Amino acid sequence: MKYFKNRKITVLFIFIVIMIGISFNSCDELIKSKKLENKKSELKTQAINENKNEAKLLLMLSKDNQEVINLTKALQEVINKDSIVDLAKKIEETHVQFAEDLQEVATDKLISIPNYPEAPLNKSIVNLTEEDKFKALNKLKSIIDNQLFILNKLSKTSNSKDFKTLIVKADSKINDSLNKTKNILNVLNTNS
Amino acid sequence: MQEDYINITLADDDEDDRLFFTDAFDEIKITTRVKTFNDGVYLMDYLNSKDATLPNVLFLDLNMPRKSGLECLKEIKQNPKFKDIAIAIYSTSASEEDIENTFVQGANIYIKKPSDFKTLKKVLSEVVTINWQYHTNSMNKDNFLLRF
Amino acid sequence: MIKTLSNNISFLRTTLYISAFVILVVGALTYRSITEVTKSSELITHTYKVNVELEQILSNLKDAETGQRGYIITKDSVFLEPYISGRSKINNSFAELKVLTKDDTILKESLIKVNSLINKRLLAFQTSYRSLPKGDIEDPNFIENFRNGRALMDSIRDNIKGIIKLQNNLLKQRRSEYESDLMATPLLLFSLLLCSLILMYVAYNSIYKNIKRLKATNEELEIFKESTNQSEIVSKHGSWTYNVKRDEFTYSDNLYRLLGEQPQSFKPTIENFLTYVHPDDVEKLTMQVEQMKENIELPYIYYRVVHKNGNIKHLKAYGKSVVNEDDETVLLGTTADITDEIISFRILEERNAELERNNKELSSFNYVASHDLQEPLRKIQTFLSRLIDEEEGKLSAKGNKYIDRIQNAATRMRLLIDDLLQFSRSNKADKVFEESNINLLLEAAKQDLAEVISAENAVITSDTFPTITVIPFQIQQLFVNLIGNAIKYRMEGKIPKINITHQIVEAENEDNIIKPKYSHYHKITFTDNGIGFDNQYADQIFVLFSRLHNKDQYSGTGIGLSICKKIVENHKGYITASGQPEKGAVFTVYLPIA
Repeated sequence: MKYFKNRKITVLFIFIVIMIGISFNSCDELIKSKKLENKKSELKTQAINENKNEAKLLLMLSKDNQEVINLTKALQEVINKDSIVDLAKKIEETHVQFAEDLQEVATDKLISIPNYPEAPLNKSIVNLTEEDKFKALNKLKSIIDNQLFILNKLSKTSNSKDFKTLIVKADSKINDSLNKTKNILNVLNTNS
Repeated sequence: MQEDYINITLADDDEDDRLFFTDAFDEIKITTRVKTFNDGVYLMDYLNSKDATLPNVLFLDLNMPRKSGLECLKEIKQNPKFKDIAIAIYSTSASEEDIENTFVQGANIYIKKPSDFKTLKKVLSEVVTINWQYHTNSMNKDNFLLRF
Repeated sequence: MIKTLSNNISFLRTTLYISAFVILVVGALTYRSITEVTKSSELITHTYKVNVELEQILSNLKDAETGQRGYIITKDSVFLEPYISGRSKINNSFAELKVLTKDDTILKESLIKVNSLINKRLLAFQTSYRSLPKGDIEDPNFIENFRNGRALMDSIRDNIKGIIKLQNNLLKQRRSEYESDLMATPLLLFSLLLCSLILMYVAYNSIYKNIKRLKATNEELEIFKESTNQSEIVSKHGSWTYNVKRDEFTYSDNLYRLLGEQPQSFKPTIENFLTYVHPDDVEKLTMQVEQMKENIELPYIYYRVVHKNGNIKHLKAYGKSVVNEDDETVLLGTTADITDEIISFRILEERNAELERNNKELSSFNYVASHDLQEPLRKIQTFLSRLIDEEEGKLSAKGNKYIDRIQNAATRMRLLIDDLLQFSRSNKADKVFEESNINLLLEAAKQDLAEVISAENAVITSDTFPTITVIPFQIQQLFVNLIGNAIKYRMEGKIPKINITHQIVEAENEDNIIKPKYSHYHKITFTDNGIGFDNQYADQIFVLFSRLHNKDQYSGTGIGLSICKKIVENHKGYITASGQPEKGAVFTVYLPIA
């Protein structure tokens, strides 16, 4: 303790302690900031990828949706039974609504999806045989199924609130459409 | 005391000096009665005795055994009985100290013993004829030591 | 020297702290500058990225347009490929932009605007592409659509260009900042380096100078120490120090030698020291040491020590306190061996006492002898005179002659005794100086000589004297002797005339005075018209018993002038004589003015 009586040595000691503390701190800070930087850029790329993924999925959804709408519209023309036509119409309505919802989300998210309601209809499938009708229906079913699959994937990969609400809203409706399509198929199968 | 002779007393331890003294007075043409004493003690004993005749003039030697002249002088001056005695110091020495001391103690005159008989006679006759009353009033140190 | 050094040290320390602070500050600034540079470059990269993506979008759109045109022209669906993939590419670009512009709300809004326009454009593509199979490029709807598409494209281009321009401005701004930061950083770094270098150099310089100075001082100190040791040995001194706080003594080498021991032969404590002190002085010394420790000072103290070989030495010690560098009070002391001084002092005292005793004896002997010799002499003279008176006629002529001769001899003896008495009186130890009226003394002297003066009708003239501090009876004696001589050695037939003058003179102007002790003197001259003397005897006449004439010519004992000389010497003055045979003599007396 004799050394501590000497003022100079005490001051020097305190000074050294402070310096060591500061240098430890600053090293720590540097390492932390580096990690932070890395994490930041990682997060950034992750976000970008997520965005790209969302855009792609949304585009696919919208394309599928348009196909569904087209098919249901065409089917309405060719099917004679009123109950099926009704079903088909209902499906169409659901998907038109879904298309609107998609558009809303897309505009928010700066994703560009084609705005189909304004595009004229392709009338090539009007004059189709029964077989072709079945094909079309199956196609419809697989597309809707696909839509569900995409929705599922989207719900898994996206963290966005808007998407989640959309998915929740759409999922049940599209399931409903799928059932309706299955019904139509059954009816048509029993008929012929 | 109005007598027709003067009473003289001498206290001196030296025999020769006493002889000179008495011889001198014998030859002086003044009527005197001379008494001598061998030392201070004899003198004071006599003076203090009941039927002593006090002298008019007392000659005191200073260097005496038993009691010195200075001591006698002091004693005499202290005693009011002896106030009328004129005291002449009669000594060999003329040192300042002795002159001073005896003057202070109240001696009337200081005489240095002369070495010539004629001078002695002159001095003694001078001294005894001084009117002491008159003399005492104007006494000072210059007159104290008799010059001859 | 110590003070300037410590000032230097604190100055150095201050400079160190200031420089350290400066370096830290500059370092911090440099660090900040570097981070700024990094940030700036990051921002620039960011802006570039945004620009690139926007350009990418535009290019994709252009590709789609070109593809569409190709399809319209060739009806080959291969050309539609860029259009088909265009949407997803654009979406990807937007995905990137979304993340890049997360914090920029203005940019976000612009992007939303552009996105809606792009949607419209893509829709226009669709419409035109759907309506084409009719094959009619002349169709007004088609043309309308086409034109519309073009307008949209222009609008998109303008918007994007606007955004890009904004970004570019931002970029420019950031670039300029970057440049300035870039400039600053190396400058700061360099100044940092310079500061450090200067500091180092200054520190080195200062330290070097100080070390050199210290070395020189140390060497001087060493020499000093050596010389102190030597001087201690020569002057028989020892020095010691007492540190009050630590209660410790240090003894110098020679202090041990003063105790008769080898240097540093025992531990310097007060107990060890006391073992050497004389038993009679131990108690007193212990007390004095206790007091010294209390008062932190030591007035002069004296004590004895006994060496191992039995020698007793007298020591004198003294101490004074001093405050040193560390604010400690230290008592610096010196002890001197004064044995020699004490011994010589004692011897001197003894001799003095002896001399005084001798003197006293001689004096009293002188006095008593002369005094007691007077008695029998007086008797002889008186009896002789009586004899002459009584038996003058009865004696034979021879008898008378013999008696006459006896008388002469007796008279001579009397003279001698009187003079001896005078001489002894002027010797007396207890001389009392008084302020005396010299004129009165002169008158008294003349009175003493009254008979002779009147007998010879001597004429004495004199100046008026001031008051002088003298021994009155001696000065009176002086006058008597000198005037008496002047009358005694008169010229036959002449009336003796004596003139006594007085002056105040400066010592250096008088040749008679050799080695004067005072600056001014009273000069009293006695001039007579007597027989005078030959000047070669001027000094001799003051010698005791020395005469220039025999006793038959002029009576005298040869003591008178010696008495005068003695008297004048008692007054610390001088006496000289000069004479002209048959004309007269001048005696000069100098009495100092104190």
